[in-house]
Amino acid sequence: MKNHINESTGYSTQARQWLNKGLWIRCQMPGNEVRKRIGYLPQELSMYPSLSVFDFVNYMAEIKGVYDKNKVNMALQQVEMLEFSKRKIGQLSGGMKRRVGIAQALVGNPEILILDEPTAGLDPEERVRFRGILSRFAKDDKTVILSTHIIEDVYQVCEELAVLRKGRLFYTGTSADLMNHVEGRIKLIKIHDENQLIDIQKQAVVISTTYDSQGLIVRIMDKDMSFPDAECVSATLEDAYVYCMGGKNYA
Amino acid sequence: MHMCTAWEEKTMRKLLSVIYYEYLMQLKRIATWAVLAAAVVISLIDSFPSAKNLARLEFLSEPSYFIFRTLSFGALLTAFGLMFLISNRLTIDQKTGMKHLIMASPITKSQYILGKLIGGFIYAYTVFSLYLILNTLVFLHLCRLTFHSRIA
Repeated sequence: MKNHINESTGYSTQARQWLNKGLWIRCQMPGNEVRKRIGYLPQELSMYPSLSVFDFVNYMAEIKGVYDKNKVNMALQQVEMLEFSKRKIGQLSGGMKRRVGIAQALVGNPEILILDEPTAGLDPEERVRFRGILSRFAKDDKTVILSTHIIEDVYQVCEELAVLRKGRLFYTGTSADLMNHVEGRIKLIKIHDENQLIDIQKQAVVISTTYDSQGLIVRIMDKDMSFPDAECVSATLEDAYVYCMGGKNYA
Repeated sequence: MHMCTAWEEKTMRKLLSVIYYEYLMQLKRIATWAVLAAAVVISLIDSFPSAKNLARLEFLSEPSYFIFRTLSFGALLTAFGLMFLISNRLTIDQKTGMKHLIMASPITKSQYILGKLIGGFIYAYTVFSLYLILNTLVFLHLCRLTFHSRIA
């Protein structure tokens, strides 16, 4: 999708967009029409450090054909950056820069918001704030396409998700459905000897290990039900993701 | 009379936006003012109408020669500095990710590149003008001082 947007210069007959209700549709619109409908935030974005926050967002707004400065202020208000609108971008923290990035994506009221790793490198507080911004945008029947490796963001924000494995679409559906795939297979085993871990790894996928005073607690994905007596715990989206990725041992 | 269509107006406005912000960004760079200051200082050292320079350059007190000297030497330095400041304007957008972002907006490559070029040209023109104005002001000021001293 990103490459398509970057490189399309004319009619994009091959453009695929994931729109509402999780449907992949083939888009027959001219590239320019597609770009009018989207807000985009790339992963690596340094912006222009010498410009003020307002100037930068206004610049991006004018490129999109939005010349109303009130709409720029509204976008900055949405990401809680209005009070910093006169500050130079070079003087902002990483989280604030990301918020400016999302403001420029929001300006012009796009139908679809495409965000590439928007919370990478942000502290938990900024991530929570970011998720709130996305939720507020999505409540107006808008679509947010979020590309991320941070599972918690997906769980908190996304109604539907798609998992890519080796560049191919592996799964589409809800988080709950994905977790159902591994429900009843996530177990905890307490061991006292680290050598036992090697035996466990041969029979199940070890997701994590935690040391405590009595030994080692091993969280496993028991795909073949090799440990029927182990304590079952509820699955998380991260467990399901490990399952999607082929269930390698991580501990 | 030719009437501008809405499409043409939008196209022009986007181009003007790129020109304006390119110009603004360049003027806000500290390096711009450093280059301008360095060029003015070096030019004045060369063609300041001091006794030493007047002995070295016998027509220096003539306004036409002063302007010629200022343009032929100092302007070259200004152009050299500006060359560095303008040369990476497109490649820096590639490095910072701004090109991806701008190309994901409803703007054509020609609008973007043309806007950058015209903005850069107006910026260079502004810096040259400032360079000449600053040099001329100094020259006029010195001439006035000389005139007053001769009267006295």
